[in-house]
Amino acid sequence: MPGFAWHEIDPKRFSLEKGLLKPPWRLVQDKDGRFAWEGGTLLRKKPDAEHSVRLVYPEGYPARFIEARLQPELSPTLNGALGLHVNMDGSICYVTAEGWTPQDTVSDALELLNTWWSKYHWLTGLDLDRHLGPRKQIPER
Amino acid sequence: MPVNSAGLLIARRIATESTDAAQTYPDLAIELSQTNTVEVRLACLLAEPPTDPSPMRLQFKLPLGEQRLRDALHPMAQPYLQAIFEKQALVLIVGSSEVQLLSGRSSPAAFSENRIWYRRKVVEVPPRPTNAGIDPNLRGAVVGLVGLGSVGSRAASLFAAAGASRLVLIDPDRLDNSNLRRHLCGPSYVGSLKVEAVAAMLEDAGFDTASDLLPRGVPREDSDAVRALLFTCDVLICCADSGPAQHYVNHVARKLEKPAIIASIKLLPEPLGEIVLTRPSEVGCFNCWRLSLQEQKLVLKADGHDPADYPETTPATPRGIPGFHLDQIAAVACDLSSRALAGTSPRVWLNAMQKKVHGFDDLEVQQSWIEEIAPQTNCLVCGL
Repeated sequence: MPGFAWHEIDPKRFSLEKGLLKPPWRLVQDKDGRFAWEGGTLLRKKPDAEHSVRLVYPEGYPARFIEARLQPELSPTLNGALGLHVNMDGSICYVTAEGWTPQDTVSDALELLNTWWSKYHWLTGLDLDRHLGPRKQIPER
Repeated sequence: MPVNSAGLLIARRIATESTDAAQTYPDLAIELSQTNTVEVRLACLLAEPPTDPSPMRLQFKLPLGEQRLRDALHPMAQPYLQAIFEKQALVLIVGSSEVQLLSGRSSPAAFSENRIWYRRKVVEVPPRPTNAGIDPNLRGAVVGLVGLGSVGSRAASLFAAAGASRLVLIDPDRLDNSNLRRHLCGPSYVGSLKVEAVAAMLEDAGFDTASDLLPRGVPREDSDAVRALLFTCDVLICCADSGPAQHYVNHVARKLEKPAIIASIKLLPEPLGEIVLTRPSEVGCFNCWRLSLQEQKLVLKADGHDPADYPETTPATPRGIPGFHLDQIAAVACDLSSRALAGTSPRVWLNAMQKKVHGFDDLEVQQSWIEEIAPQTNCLVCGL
C-alpha cells in the first residue's frame, strides 16, 4: 500500500540503514516493493558449501526483525539443531521476535546471524569488519 | 466482587435447581482452563487458616467433546455452588497461582464488597471505574486499539462509554476458555475472533460505537495496511503485552504523529502495571523509556527473551491478576488518552500491585508512580 510502508513513513531511518553495510552488499527492491540486502555469503565447512545471504526488511520494520534467507536454502527437515533454526518458509530463525527492538539495525541483524552461524562447529562465520559500514550515527537533538 | 461471566452462568443455573449440598464451604475460588480437557479447580477460603490445606483443593477433569462447557461444569460443580447459595456467599474466579497459594496463606480473610483476599493478604479494592458520562476530549474520537485481551476489552468498553465514535480493533486471536477468567467477554463468545467478540459485546451493551475489525497480529502481518488504518485514528492504544507490538505502535504513532498510550501489566518479577504515553509534539517515547530501563538494568534485552518483560522471574512470580487491577489499568489508559488529546498528561504511570518491584524502590505497593520520559539521544525512533 503506497504511502504507509516503513521506509515511507520513516525516511530518516531508511537513510540510516542504507549506509550500514559495505559492498559486496547492495540494497535492492523486489517486485513487491520490499527492500533487501544481497551480496553477502556464509561459508559452511561440513559439507563444503557457500550460501549467499539475503536480508529482507519486513513490513513491520523496525518493530519486526529483518528476515534472513540463504541460497541454496537450508531445509527445516535438516537433522540436528541446524534444522530447528530454519522456519517452514525457508527463512532463518536467528533471533526471536521478542529479542529484537527498533534499536536494532541491519548491521545488528548481520552480527546476530553471524553469531548464530558460528555457533555450529561445522560452520564458519564472517569477517564482520569486511562487511559492516560505519556504525550508526545518531544526530544530536 | 469480581465475578466473571462463567461463574455467573453457573451460579444462575444452580440457583434455579435444588440439589443436596455435598459439602458446605463459605466461599469458593474457581479456575477454568483448557488443555485437552476443561479443568475446574475449587478452592475453599475459610474464615480460619486451614490446618491441613490439601482437602481444601478439589480438581475435576471434564471432557469437552460435543458437550458445551456450561453443561459439563454444571453437574460437577453444583453441590459446591449450591452450598454457596445457601450461605449467600460470593464466588471469586482466580488463577492457578492464587489456588496454589491458598494452601500456604498466612492470614484468613472473608469476602465483602470492598475487600478481597488476594495472595496472602487482604487489600482494599479500588472503586470499579464506572461510566462517568461522555468525556468531552474523547467524544467523537476515533480510537485505534491494538490487543484485545483482559485490558484491551476493558479499554474498548471504556472508550465506547466515553463517547468514541469509532474503534479500530486489532487482534489476531480467538477467545479461548482460558481467557474467560479475566476477559470482559463471556463464554457465549468463546471461539470467536476477539475483535468480533469485543465488537459484539459493545453492541450487546447498547453502545452505538462503530467498529473496524482487523484480525491481524502486528507487526507480523499486513503492517502497511494496519498503518494506513491507524492513520485514520485520533489516538492509538496498545494493550498487547508483547514487546514487538508495543514497539510497533510506538513507532507508528511517532511517525504518523499520533498520541499513543501503551498499557500493559508486567508480571516479572512482580506484578506491575505500566502505562506509557508518547506524544508527537514531544521528544521521549516508549523506546526511550525502555532504553532508560535497560541502562538501569531494570530490563534485560537478551536473545530469546521478551525485552518488554522485567527480569528475574522466580517460582513465586504470580501469573494471575484480579479483575480490579485490570479495570484500573484500562481506566487509567482511557483517562490518559483523554488528557493526551487535551494536551496535558503525565508520561509514565506505574503501579506496583502487591510486592515491592526490584529496582523500583520508590514505587510503593498499591500506589501509583508517575514520571516523565527522559529522551534518549540514541533512540532510533524519536531521536532520528
